[in-house]
Amino acid sequence: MRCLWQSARRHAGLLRLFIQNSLLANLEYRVNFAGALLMSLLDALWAVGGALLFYTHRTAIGGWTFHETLIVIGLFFIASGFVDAVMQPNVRDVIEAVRSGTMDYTLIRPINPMFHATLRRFRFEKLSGLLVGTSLIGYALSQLQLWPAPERWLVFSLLGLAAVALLYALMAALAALCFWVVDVANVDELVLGILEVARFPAQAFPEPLRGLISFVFPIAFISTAPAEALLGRLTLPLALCGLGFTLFALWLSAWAWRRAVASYTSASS
Amino acid sequence: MRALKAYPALLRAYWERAVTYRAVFVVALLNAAFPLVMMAIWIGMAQDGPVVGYTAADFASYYLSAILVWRATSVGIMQDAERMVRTGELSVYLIRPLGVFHHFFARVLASRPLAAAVPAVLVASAALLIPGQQFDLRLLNLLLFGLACGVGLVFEFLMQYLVAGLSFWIVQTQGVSAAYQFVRAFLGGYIVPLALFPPALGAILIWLPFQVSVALPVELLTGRLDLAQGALRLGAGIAWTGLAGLGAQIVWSAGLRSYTAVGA
Repeated sequence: MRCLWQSARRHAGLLRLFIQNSLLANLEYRVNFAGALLMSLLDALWAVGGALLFYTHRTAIGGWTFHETLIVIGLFFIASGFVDAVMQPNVRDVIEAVRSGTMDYTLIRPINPMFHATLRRFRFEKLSGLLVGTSLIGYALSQLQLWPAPERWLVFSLLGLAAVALLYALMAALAALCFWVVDVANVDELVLGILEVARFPAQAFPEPLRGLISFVFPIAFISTAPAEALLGRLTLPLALCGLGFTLFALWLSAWAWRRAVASYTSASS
Repeated sequence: MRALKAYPALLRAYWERAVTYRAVFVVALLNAAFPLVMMAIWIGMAQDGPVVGYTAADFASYYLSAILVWRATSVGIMQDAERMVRTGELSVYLIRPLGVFHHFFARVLASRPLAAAVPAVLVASAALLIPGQQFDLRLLNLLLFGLACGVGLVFEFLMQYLVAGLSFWIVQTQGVSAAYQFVRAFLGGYIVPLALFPPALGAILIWLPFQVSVALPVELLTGRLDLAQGALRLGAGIAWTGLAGLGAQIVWSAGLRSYTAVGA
């Protein structure tokens, strides 16, 4: 138990170091943040504009009103901001390192290679999505005149964290894939493409797509489920199902990394 | 006239280059994710009755055609053009007998068959598989569709060339280009059909330049425009294309005068 605690503290310290380093590197290019924020705002304008156009023709879609949908859109921006800021740069680095053989330098370090390879670099300017997403959620709640009870906030944050962990596991597993298939470049674009489905509530999609994204491929847990938690519509089995999915995905990605590192052949040496 | 004679060789050279990077097409197809999501939701809505005359099958044919047309008219020369100006690589092209414009244009033309072929096969097979889809396949209409796609491509090329010319003064033109693609996608009918905008807004949008490279060809192909209307909007598109060409000409001639050939 003590050993586990020590390991957790060591990793937290390292994570802080990685974040500090990235922050220093990012501060060199401060103008980039303004550019990224502008792009996020434009993107948000289109997502909200698109939703607004849906709602000029119907008052509710799949049981969701316009302002309720805004919460889902906000969560989508937070999720894609996380993918852009954390996952994309690291997955690109892993692919490049495996191809060129510089993965060696990661593997000889006395640290879990998955941890080091997937959480080393952060692009802070891409966190603009986070800013836009939280503002959307805040606006939606004020328009709905809704101030959720503390336990709803608790479930909401729990499921939100689970969504982030799910995305992390997904991208880490894909990064592990490139140990076997080096020609997997742009695989991050694939994830971003699939993530687009999280822009709108899962119930707004026609069957069989709705069932597919709710249960088979759990995109609904990224934006729809946390929004439902905030609105008090989420049932307990569904919440547990989401947490279970996340734990399974985390275990799967860790397993994939162990297998991947074992089969690494080191291109350069 | 000499430029015209050089085109067969230029096209062959850039065709070879285009087929070298085949994997990029898979990624480009994925850029279609947002419109496909929009399509799915419209189809869900259309199940309780058509939306402003669009049934579920209409939405499917609109968005599939839109993806095809978007791929056929999208031009990606910004990155290279910006790099050439920034690094001074442009100088090499300036001392060649044929203007740099022709190099870019030939490259875009040579990339068209691949850019359009993959989505064309997908759209055609979907059109055969999904029942109730409507395409207007009369010869005259198809000719007008082809012409609209051609004008759309030239318009997009000139716009990209114009923005690329801005890199003589500002470094981050890629941001400008990305913002332009956003505006074009939404106001041009790629994300939402123009007919589903509020009527007052839609009436303006069909005369804006963005419609020529997406909405106009798509509405022609899906049979939503009669020939007279189509020809009128095509005329507007040609006028915008002329303006874009004029703008590109001004930007590039001013830019080349201030060009200092970094690194040469």
